[in-house]
Amino acid sequence: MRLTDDAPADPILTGKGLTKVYASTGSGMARKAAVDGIDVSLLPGECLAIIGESGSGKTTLSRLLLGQLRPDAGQVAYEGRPVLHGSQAAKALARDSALVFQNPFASLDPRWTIGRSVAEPLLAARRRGSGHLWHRRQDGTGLADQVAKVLSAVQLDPDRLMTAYPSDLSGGQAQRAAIARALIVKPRILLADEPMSAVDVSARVGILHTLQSIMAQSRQQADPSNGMSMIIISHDLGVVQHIADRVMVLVRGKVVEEGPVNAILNHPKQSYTRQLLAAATL
Amino acid sequence: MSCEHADRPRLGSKAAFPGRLGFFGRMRVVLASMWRKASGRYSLIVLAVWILVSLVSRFWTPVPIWTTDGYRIWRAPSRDHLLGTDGTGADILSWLMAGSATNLAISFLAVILSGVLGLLLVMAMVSHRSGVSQTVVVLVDALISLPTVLLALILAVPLGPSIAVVVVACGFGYGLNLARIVRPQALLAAESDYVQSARHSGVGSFRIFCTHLVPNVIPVLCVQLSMSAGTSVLAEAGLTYLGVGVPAGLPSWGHSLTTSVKFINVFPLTVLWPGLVVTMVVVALNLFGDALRDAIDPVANPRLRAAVAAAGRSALRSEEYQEASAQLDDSDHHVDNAIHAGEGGNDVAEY
Ligand SMILES: Nc1ncnc2c1ncn2[C@@H]1O[C@H](COP(=O)(O)OP(=O)(O)O)[C@@H](O)[C@H]1O
Ligand SMILES: [Mg+2]
Repeated sequence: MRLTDDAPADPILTGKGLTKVYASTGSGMARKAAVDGIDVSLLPGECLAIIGESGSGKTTLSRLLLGQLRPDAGQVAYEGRPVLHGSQAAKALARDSALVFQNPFASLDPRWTIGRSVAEPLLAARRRGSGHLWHRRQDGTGLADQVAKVLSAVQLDPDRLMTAYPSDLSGGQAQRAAIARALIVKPRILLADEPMSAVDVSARVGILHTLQSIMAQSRQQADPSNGMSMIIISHDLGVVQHIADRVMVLVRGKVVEEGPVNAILNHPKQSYTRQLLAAATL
Repeated sequence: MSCEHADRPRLGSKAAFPGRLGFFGRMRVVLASMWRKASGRYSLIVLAVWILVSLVSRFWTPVPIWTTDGYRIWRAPSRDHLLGTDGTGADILSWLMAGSATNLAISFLAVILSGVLGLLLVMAMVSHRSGVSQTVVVLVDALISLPTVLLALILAVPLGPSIAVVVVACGFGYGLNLARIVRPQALLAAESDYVQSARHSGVGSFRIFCTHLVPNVIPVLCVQLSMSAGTSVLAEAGLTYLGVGVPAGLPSWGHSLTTSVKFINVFPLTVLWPGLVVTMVVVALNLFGDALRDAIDPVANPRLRAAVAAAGRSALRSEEYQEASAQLDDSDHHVDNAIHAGEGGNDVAEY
């Protein structure tokens, strides 16, 4: 546990009373909130796990937090500034955050090489920096180096995989490539939405290992309060117990339990959390 | 980190990004892949001959096309007239050769027009503004019911019979069709996680359309556009027969068919030759589309993937990378082991 009591850092991202009701849920049924008045906060360098069964609103909550969905009620704040659609804070949040999805083969363009996919966010950031909308010849300075470095950081062989296509990769390799893609812009917030559910069991350990080593690396930095924060979403408490600092358990859009991972694991207050623990796979 | 590449030699500044096989390199692999299949080989040969004959016919035909001989009409094939002569005594082979250029131009322009129109419509159809996308979807559905022939007849009123009528009528009709067929594929890509990631990274909509959506609909595009090219050959024949296509003085396959089809009972050979040419070309174009789809799509063509990988490797190994390759080979094994350990059973004990 690295969250020391002596330095109570300000949260990097907070959500207050977040609520989202989808327009078309069910026929004739009363519209139910997918996310129902949730308060969250994410500290710098922290790994927060959001746990809950399918349909409990984990994905919706995470999209609200990253400003990809507009909440029907409540507000998200990034570094204390409210994230409103099109605001500077929303742009900063998008720039400083990255996503890893459930299905790695859906999150990598099947017709792009891994190297190109991984480099895409970096090139987009460079274009933004240079202010040019469309470079015919993009500035490729050190691009291959950076891609190689980040591929190595997720335990992929750059020389072999940089020019491979997703269809040549195993599920585990593809998911690590997707993680590399997220990491290349050095995000301050990494959101991993069920990153292990779609890959086979043997590859899950490898991905968990990769995520752990990324968190460990960011914590070794000179200023740990500036390290990368991670939100990891899962329906499986067993998957996240090795990596999360804090756990939040969602049931039907509401938080039923929240706290440090050890407390939750050892003394679950809710019977629902106990069931989740019993069903843990790793 | 067990597999740090800290001492990797640096790629020269502004170096091409590995994995970007140049256009000509890519075309070579694509053509070679097409050539491997009989259908692809047939289509490539027919198309190559078509293009070659079109070029040659601009400068030379066995008999100048305006040379007619009133005493030698409806002649059977002979040494002087390899495919015989038509009702004016003109050389059929020469007219077919000269016509191939017209048909090539029509097919080419119709494909370009329908491709551009189709992609523009698709761009509007996958737009985030639901007002725009829904309007265009309805518009396309409504306009698609307008028959190509009717459109050509309408266009012929101001334009008179001309190449433009055929090109615009075909390009318009096929463009609408293309948009309708490509839309589901494009939507699938537009809603995919990789596009969502790209958008989150700040990549603009137009760039996403060009770099993610278009490459992912290329398989459908290949088939549809080559079919459009084939159909435009048939349409040219039909429209010319109706008198709204290629004008009388201009050689085209439709023209050759039209002038002799009235006498098909008496002189069937004169209809057979242009019919044969049209059939061969249309079949070739359809086969070409299928072969191109299989060859140009990296997902479907492992040879293309291998070529891209090889090009990337050689880019990495070139110049500055040369002396370090031995060292890289070492680390390859190292990384392989690391990957294996990471994915395999070794680490499981930890948890
Ligand atoms: N785009 C959408 N439109 C309508 N309903 C949705 C949409 N996305 C999710 N939902 C509904 O919202 C609820 C929460 O979904 P989600 O956040 O995806 O849950 P989880 O990620 O935990 O599986 C579910 O009941 C789901 O059916
Ligand atoms: Mg989900």
